[in-house]
Amino acid sequence: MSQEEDFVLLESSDGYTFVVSRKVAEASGTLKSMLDEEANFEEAKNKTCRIQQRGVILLKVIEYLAYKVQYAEFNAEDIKEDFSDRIDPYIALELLTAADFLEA
Amino acid sequence: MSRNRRAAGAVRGPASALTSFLAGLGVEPSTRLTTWGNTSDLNADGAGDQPSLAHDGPVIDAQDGLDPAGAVTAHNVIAGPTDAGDGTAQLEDETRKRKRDDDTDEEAVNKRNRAASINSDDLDADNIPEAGPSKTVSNTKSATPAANVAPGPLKAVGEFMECGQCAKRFTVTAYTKEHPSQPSTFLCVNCCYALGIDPFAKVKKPPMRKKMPVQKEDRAKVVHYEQKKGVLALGDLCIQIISKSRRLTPETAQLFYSADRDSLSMYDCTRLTPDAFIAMSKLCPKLTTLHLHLCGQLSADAMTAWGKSLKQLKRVELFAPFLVRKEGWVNLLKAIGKRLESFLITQSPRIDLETIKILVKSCPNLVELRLAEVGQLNDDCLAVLQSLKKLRYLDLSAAGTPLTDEAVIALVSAIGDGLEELVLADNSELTDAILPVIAEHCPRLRRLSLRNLVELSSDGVAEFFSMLKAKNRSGYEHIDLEKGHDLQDAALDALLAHSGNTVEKLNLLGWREVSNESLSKIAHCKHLKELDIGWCRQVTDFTVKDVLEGCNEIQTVRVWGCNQLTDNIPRKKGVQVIGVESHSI
Repeated sequence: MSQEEDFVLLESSDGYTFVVSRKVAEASGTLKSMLDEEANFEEAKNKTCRIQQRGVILLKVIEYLAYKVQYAEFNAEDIKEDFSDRIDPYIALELLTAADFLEA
Repeated sequence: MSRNRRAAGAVRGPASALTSFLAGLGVEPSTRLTTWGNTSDLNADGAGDQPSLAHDGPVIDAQDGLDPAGAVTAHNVIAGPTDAGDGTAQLEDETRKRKRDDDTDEEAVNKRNRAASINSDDLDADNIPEAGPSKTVSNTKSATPAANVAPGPLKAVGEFMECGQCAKRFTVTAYTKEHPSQPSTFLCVNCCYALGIDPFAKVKKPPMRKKMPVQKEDRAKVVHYEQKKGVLALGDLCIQIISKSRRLTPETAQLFYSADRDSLSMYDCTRLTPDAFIAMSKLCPKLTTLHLHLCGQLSADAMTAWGKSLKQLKRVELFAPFLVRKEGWVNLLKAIGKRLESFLITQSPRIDLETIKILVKSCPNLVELRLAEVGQLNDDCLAVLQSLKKLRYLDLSAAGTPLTDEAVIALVSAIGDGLEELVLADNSELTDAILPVIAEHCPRLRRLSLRNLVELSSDGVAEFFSMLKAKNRSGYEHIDLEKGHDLQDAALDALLAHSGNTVEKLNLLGWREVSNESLSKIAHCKHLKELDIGWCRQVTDFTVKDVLEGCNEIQTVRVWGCNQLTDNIPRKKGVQVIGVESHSI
């Protein structure tokens, strides 16, 4: 199976699940090592990662990861879309802890 | 290089591309040098030069009775053919030489002679290296442009270096001069003459002196060459968002200061003390744009200090500088003077008529002016503002003494020509009378705010927009007619007829009697991004549906107080509908 078509499941602490392409998920350092097939973790076997964050936070993290993958090859000054417009200040702190944990 | 010579079996240095090309076409120099300077042609030139020679220094190369100017000509020639390839370098040299020569007439004559000899001898360049077959290295160099000598620092006295002009090796002395057009290369004595530099002049280092001020200017400017790929980390984004809504203290505020910063915006300065504001001006001396929000503790002393240390300030935007006394404003305005382009002040009880007179007198280049919620602003102040002809943005909302029609009419007719944005919000005395004047005198107006002008009538506003349409004025981008309680269908219809195609931000809050049919026509506004129809009591789910479906660029719709809306209100991806009553219960 090619890396591109592979999907993984991310599960939030309040029970929301997200089906995400592996490429997007692996933009996060933590998820990448969790899903590393050679490491033989439970997560890699089941292709399911449990993240101890609320669904809204995880949703925003995934949204960011997709954004990160989309612009991975762009020069910083060429990126016109500003992700900070899409972050609600109310979740910023929680999002920061999630981002720190996931190495996003 | 001559074919004769080749036939004679003489050693020949590598020729430049141009020389070979010309030789291939049969173009050859008319006169040749056997050893440098030893032709009749040159001698004639040299003889012409001799009497007008400017320098008094010892003549180094007196061989064959040739004077230094002659020798020099030969050297210049070296750079000739190859430089012809890339053109500019030689030309620049010439002009620079010319400039230097303006000092003395006789030198100028001298130069012209030289230039002439260069032209005639251009193609002889390759002859020179033949002086010694062993010097193959320098041969190559001499055939290449002067720029090919690797630039480097001046070596110690007594060591050898390659000349930046002729690429010959020479001994470095205390007098060795830098090449005038190619920094970090140095000249041998002969080339000094060639370029019109006195090789034995006192070491004044003219190029250095020229460089100094440039360096000083550039020193504080940090240029980043690093090119970053990809997006900012999510954590950093969050930190930015969190710190934006955080109160700054004198300690944390310093994190945002730096000497090369030219714009600074701080959103919550409630805790910054006057000393912190003074420190800011010292630590960010290059600021051109300054925007402080909630700067309640800003004092007159800090303002005075700003005037002294912020030498490049052009734009000042302050929200709530209550404590700044009159002299603070006066000192700042006088210090900035003609540089000031934007002066945006909201909430100040101390700005009075005299301050405004000084503002107008010392800052004639003002482009943006905001004197919102200024306690002492009145009609007399408006009369003074009439001489600010360059204004493009004017905000006089919520004047302490409500402005009257007469004063506003006089001001708008005086400075309306340039205005692009006009804000006259919260001046409860203004009536329909100002509208025809705005239509008449503001051809460039794009953004208009007449918020909370309770006296406006529906007919007056309708007539205003019909008049704009009749005059063929381009449509407005922002229209704020919030709290126009008496405005009805006629006003909205005329507004949409004029600005419907251009409006991006439309605020109709509190048009309590406007009908649903008229509101639905908003759906034709192609560029509408933000809409506020709060307290328009006739709004229904269908009105919102029409807007969401019709306006492709819509981002925000505010519907506070529209009590007919239900839970079934339509949604659209990417659009926020804010204030639906049933959502909040």
